Amino acid sequence: MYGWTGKLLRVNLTTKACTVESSEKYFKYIGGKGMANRIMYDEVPAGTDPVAVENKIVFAIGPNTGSNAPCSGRTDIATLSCFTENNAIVDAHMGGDTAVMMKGCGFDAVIIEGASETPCYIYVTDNAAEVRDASHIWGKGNRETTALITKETTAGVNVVSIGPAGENLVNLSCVITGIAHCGGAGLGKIFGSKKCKAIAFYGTQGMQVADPKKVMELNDYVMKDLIGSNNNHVIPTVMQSWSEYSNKSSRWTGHPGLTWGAAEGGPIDTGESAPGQPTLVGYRCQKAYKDHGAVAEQYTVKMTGCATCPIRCYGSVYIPQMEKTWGVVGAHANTCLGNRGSSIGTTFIKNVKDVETEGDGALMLSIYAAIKSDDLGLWDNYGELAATLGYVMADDHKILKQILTEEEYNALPWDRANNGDVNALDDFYAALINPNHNMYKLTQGAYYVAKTFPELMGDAYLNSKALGLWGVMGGKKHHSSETAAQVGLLTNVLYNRDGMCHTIVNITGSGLPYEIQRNIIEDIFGEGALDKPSNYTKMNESKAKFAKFGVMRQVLHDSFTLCNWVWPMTFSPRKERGYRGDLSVEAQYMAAITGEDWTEESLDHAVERDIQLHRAMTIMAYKTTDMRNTHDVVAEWVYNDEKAYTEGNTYLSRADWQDALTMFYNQFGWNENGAPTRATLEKFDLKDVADDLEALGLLG
Amino acid sequence: MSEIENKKSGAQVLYECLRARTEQSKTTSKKFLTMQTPEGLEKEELSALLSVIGTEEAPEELKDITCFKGRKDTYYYDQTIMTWQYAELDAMISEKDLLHTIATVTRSDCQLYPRPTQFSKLKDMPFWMTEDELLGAAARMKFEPEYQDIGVVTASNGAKGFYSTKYMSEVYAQALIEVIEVEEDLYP
Amino acid sequence: MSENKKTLLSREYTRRQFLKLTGKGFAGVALSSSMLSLLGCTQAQAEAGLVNVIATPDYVLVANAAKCTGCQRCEINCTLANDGDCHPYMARIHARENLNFDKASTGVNGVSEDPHHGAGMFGTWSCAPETCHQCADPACMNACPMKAIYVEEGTGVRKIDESKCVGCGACVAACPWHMPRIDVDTKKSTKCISCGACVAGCPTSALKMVTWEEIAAAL
Repeated sequence: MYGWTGKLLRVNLTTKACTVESSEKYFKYIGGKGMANRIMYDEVPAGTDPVAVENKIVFAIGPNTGSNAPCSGRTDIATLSCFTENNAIVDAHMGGDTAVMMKGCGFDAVIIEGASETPCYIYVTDNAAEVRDASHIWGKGNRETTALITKETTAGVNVVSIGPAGENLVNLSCVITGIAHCGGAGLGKIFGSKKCKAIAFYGTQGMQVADPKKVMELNDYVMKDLIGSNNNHVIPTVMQSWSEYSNKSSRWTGHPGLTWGAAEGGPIDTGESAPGQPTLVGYRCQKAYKDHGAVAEQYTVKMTGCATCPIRCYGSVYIPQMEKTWGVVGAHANTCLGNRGSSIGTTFIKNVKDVETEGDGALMLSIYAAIKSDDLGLWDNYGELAATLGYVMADDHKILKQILTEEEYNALPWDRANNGDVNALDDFYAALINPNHNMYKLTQGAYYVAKTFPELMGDAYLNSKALGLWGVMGGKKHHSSETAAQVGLLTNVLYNRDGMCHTIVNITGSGLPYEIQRNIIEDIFGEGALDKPSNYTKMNESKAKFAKFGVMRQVLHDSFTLCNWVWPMTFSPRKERGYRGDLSVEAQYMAAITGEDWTEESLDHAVERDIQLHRAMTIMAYKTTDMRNTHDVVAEWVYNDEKAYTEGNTYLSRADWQDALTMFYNQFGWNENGAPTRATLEKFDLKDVADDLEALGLLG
Repeated sequence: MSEIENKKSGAQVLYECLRARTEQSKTTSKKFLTMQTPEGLEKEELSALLSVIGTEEAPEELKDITCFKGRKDTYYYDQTIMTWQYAELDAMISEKDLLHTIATVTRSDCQLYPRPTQFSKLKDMPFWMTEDELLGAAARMKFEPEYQDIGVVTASNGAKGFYSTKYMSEVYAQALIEVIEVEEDLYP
Repeated sequence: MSENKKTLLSREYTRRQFLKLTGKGFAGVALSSSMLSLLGCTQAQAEAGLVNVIATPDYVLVANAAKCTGCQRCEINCTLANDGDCHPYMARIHARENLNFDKASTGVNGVSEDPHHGAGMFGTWSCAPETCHQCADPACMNACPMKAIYVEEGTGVRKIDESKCVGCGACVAACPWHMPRIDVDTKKSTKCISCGACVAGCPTSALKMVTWEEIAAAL
């Protein structure tokens, strides 16, 4: 079999039975997200309590996973949301080595069902698995958990685990694999509710591809002609002799004079890595410098990242003095705000002193907070947790003082925190993940925080710009109307969490001048598809097509699997190509890997099948077809009817947003309130889903 | 083959010099070549070769080399490995006219991207300007007629950028500096 | 003597000289600037023992731990080019076992008493792929019950006679680094043929392939 393994693993934590089944009936959903969503649809009824024994966790990968297509190491994990409205279906996605190792074990998907009475972990090997006792590991942090499970299994094993946050059923908890790769979406709590400490993979099997020569040619083509840096930014931050443009906002930070300053044996210069040089691509993204500023350069040992990915986007730092000063081994890596830690760190700790060089105190605080967050498995939901804490701590902690008891408040080390004692952070973290502490209530996710404190926080909090949700169902903005106007915001409304859709922001953030971006995007989606930054026009059909493309590619990438933080190749760094990328590459990979006749159109059709299914699942969770006035309601900060469409702001008007929804719904063949019709569902071979919706009175 | 026949042509010597400097990300001025004429090349021949670079009459060896006039000199580089945008910038920086450089880059950034020119950009490679130089230049430009279009906007975190009213309103510049200095970091 | 044999002998001479010079790596060895340039590393990287050299019949494969970012593209590129599949476990170059912890440490499965100060992603980031060390006294060869592993005359390379190999795995168990792999499909072991696919696809040039002739010139 080519691409897919053809097998799925079912692990029942109640009975400890591990069985192997065929995965072939799910191939039409491609894999990954599509496959996992369909399994959830088939096996977990809408309305199930996410922590009930009936909820399941589905890990899934796709035919492209591990093909060595650049960035093909992503894993999709689907389950029910514990932190957004109506507990609808959500996907966590993560990089690391899990996906490639899972394929080596021979599984397209792993279904974790039931619940154990005592702590356990799952060890998956070639075509088999066993449920093992984890009583001795329960309570430990993610780093120690990985070390212990590695000792009990084999060198090179990949461990996906939860920390104390997941064990304590914190809504905003994640799984961690390796040193930093995080599957968010409240997944840690679902693992914790099943008393499942970890799942570990070690596989030795290969993946067959129909046309290996073509796969290698495509790899070479992508590496030489299409790939830029992280987010496929195709323009460097500073002018280099080969470049026509530069853009400080780009993630192509590598340039002569900027180094991995703490590399073993002395600094390594990131140098010029002009297009066409596959063996230098990994120097383009100096992400520690990008995220933490110039002070981080001297502590950067190297860049790391996920299996198969040539874009090394994890700034991997080692700060030896942290051990002496704060008692932690100062080694950490991450690629983004996600668990970067700086936001939570600076929320609590003020006036931190520099140790050796200017700014190193703030850097070390950020790294300290990130190390602790990762070890606890606390998930910051793209800055939402820090934003919530900031909200309750405004005006001299006015709201927080009403949430905590006086005793709780006074017991927290505020003086130490205000005097820059970084170790004081431990006490705040302990309170945040302690179910018996009122601070714990702030880690429920914004939707439930607002419900818990309707008077103190409520709608004002949910709709505030400071919190920055895209929608009042609890989804964090990631990205929204600041990215290509209505287009960026529209890409959120299909999801039951933050969209995690990076297709559009990869384009607007590419570093290319606006005119070049616009010309390429208009050629694909029509006139008026891409507005100038912070200078918007009203909604149009081209924008609706562009927004649809954004989510289609995100779903494709999480199904295929590829990283949507680099793909699609909309642009190219090559001036000889006029910076035009190639959107047919995914379909070319699909054909070369599977040996089947795939085109961009047929791949799009398969992707849209999952989007239709996912929408149906959301409707079933919401028990209404009126998505427009429930699920798709955006936060108020987005609107300003007076300022909208004037130069210098990113506001939208209420009426125009409703037009935007209408045009977007039309793109998917939905009714005026955003619900799929029978005709649409049947077009995607989803007659059974249409029947189910009709029986529930929920057909559009 | 005799030693004389083996000797490199003047055009080849000049090409190798310009190519090597381009590879080091440098354009080469006429003044530089006159002062440090490459070994094996006579001044007269150098002058003759430079005068035909970029024209139909250029010898085969120098076909990859092109030139342009800066404000103070003429600059040469290998166009197969360096873009004219980079060459122009490199030459302009070498002429050390701070105000002209800032204004040119600012006008280009505002027209092209569009975005204000961040102070942080001008402090980085290849400009290496200091905060004092930038603040001084901003003050001096207010009194120079040719730079009346150049202004400064400040983001909420204190980060500054130049903008040109020829290509951008102050309101727009203010909004964009906030996006690129503050909001992009909040929502990466 | 044939030209071919002469070349082989001269390579073998260079190889012996080179391996004598470097031992298991370059730790503590002063290298000429031409050699450093050839290997793509600095003296400091070499002295710190970060540069691992692997001798194959035609080339020396140089793996620089300072530049290795752990992406493991080398493994899959190896099997795509040689076997037509994506099979990291079967690659002739191994990155994964060293990735998280330090496999060479005395701890169980590479997890030492103090893993967070050691090599690997759970330490302070040192990692690099490994392949056959071409040992002077090969444990794999000594352990093979079928006498399928032999030293090739002329090159000194340790090779496997596939007609004799029964895939028992004794060589894997005996090798201190567990370098040999038994193909799950063919039940045979395979060896690096210096095709260069791993080198051509390394996104940070952590891998480099240098010919014996180049080494001879730099020595």
